[in-house]
Amino acid sequence: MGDFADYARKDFDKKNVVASANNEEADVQFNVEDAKAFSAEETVATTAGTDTSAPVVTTSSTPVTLGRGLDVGTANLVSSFQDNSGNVNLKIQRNAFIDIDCDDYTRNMLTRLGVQYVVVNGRMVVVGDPAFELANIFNRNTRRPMKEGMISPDEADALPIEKMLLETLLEKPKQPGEICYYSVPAEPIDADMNVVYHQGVFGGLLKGLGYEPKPLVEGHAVVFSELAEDDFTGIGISCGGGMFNVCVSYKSIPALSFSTSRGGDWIDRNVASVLGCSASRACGLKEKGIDLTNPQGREEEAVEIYYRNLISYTLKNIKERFESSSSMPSFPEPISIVCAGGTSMIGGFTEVFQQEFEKIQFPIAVKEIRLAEDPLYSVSKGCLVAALSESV
Amino acid sequence: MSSAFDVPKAVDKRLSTMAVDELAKRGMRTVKVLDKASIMSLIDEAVETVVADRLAELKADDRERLREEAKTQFKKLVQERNSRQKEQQEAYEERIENLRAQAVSLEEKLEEAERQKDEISTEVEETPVVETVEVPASPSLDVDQIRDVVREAVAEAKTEPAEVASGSQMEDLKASIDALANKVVQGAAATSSKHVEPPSEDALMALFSREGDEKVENNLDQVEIKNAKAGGVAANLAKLKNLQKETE
Ligand SMILES: Nc1ncnc2c1ncn2[C@@H]1O[C@H](COP(=O)(O)OP(=O)(O)OP(=O)(O)O)[C@@H](O)[C@H]1O
Ligand SMILES: [Mg+2]
Repeated sequence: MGDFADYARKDFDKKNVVASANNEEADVQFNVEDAKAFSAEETVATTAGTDTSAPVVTTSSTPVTLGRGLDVGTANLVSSFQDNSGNVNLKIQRNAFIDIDCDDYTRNMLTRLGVQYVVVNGRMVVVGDPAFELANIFNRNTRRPMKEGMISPDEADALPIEKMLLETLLEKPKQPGEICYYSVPAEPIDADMNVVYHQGVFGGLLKGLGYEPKPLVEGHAVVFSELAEDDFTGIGISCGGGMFNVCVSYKSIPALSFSTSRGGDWIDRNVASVLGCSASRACGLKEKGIDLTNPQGREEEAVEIYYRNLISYTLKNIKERFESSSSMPSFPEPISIVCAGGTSMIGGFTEVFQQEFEKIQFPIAVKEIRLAEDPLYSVSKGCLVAALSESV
Repeated sequence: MSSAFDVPKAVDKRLSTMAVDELAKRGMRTVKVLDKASIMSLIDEAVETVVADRLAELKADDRERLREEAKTQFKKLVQERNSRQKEQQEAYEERIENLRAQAVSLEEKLEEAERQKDEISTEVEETPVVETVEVPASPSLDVDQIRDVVREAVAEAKTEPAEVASGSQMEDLKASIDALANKVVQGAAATSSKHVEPPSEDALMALFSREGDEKVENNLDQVEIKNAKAGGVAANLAKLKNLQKETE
């Protein structure tokens, strides 16, 4: 079985996650016997074109392979599964909600706008993408269950809302205890935050839905989805809304992973404060299609400045961590750096990354800096790869 | 000129005077101050009456002069009336402004209350497990929401500047500000008395188990969720399995 699973398990066990205490078995891995017992009456077949040792299950009744991926992000939640023709199917929800006074006027208005709502504690709550649209219509900010990569301690309604959102993204498991790998932030280097609690909350949530939850650090997920051709050796960076997650991997084993609490939201906040506008407006400006290599006007220049700062901050941190760590593998070949996540999707991102890279003495030889194939879905896909590789 | 027709008096006779407040109470939102055509016909009528008195003596330009005099009188009357209305409008705007200032200070109080709440929660954060699972009975306050109420109220009051805000509009505005004040008071009280308890494992599991919440009014299954397809991961999976075999 894969080392990443050991890594994840150790990580999970080490942190003594609250919700995992209900596991009667500490071992989170499946062996062949377990798997056979699990799917006794199911037909086991391998998908054409994959290595015969790849334990892909298809059943006559369900056109879906066992194993799920879930990217738990500050800005977006993305679930994924594989259908039996090998396609990856994803569902995406904004990790946001908005609550409105519960009255007839609002009811009518929401109905007219075609927005579904849920009544919680006497308030009308709209979750996910419609909440985002609604907030824009009314020039309000959405409420966010997560902040800087983790479940938000300031948001009292965060837990029930996350539960609702996850229910919209994941159906019931195909089998009890179907594996669901979910992304968690690596230990943050610039903030004192509680990864353990966050990890436990989502583990508990997924368990409640009937899944066998397994955490995977976000940067590692990027390695799984983007660095197969390099034998899972290189650097995966997830450039998210709440944080940047970095993982230096050698043959699928993470040698170094960490996160920084600066991401897209950090850019929005800073741009907003120099331009004197709201963070949502700054975010709109940033996402509207800027080319970082050719910013037009004061506003776009502000975005470019903070992007540059963020990228250089990330690179410096990788360099420092790499140099101060005693057990770094030596990479025989130059490696690739792959960037994923919504924040990497801005025009000119890799160019600016390259420019900042050239300004510092990077400790590893790098052959290429590139973007993930599907930046927004990369983490979820990586979690899916991990889940599929353990599901029989 | 003892028998001269008193034009302003005649007009006053025909016009009924009524306080703007009184009109508003009757549900009249628009006050047409004077109808120009009827003023003109009134002037004509007045002039004709005077002229009838002195028919013989008057020449055409005298008649014209008289007409002008009467017109001037009426213009004066109209102006007086307009300025009275303007004063009233200004008084209303001033009241709205005051109410708005009141709302802004409430908003500031609220922000202060939230800052204090933040401080409390940061203090508590130093203990190992800090988050609370219980959902507070009263929904938390939303500064944006308050801003919206105020913005709406002010916008409403200013939609038709030519119009005098009616009594009921003012009542609405007052009511929404009172509601706001209420919320601030409740919110501050809830904040100061709130204790952050670490969640027990049972509480977590109860929260996350499906059965616990069947009763919640929920139509989420009707929400369209964004779907996407992405490139397959079969090759990644195969490589990973190979690598795992090698390292075993
Ligand atoms: N086209 C775009 N250009 C620039 N930024 C974008 C674009 N599209 C999305 N973003 C930004 O990407 C961020 C969201 O990315 P993503 O979904 O990867 O984050 P996340 O996984 O939810 O967050 P995290 O991993 O930090 O918890 C937001 O800050 C958003 O503004
Ligand atoms: Mg992410």
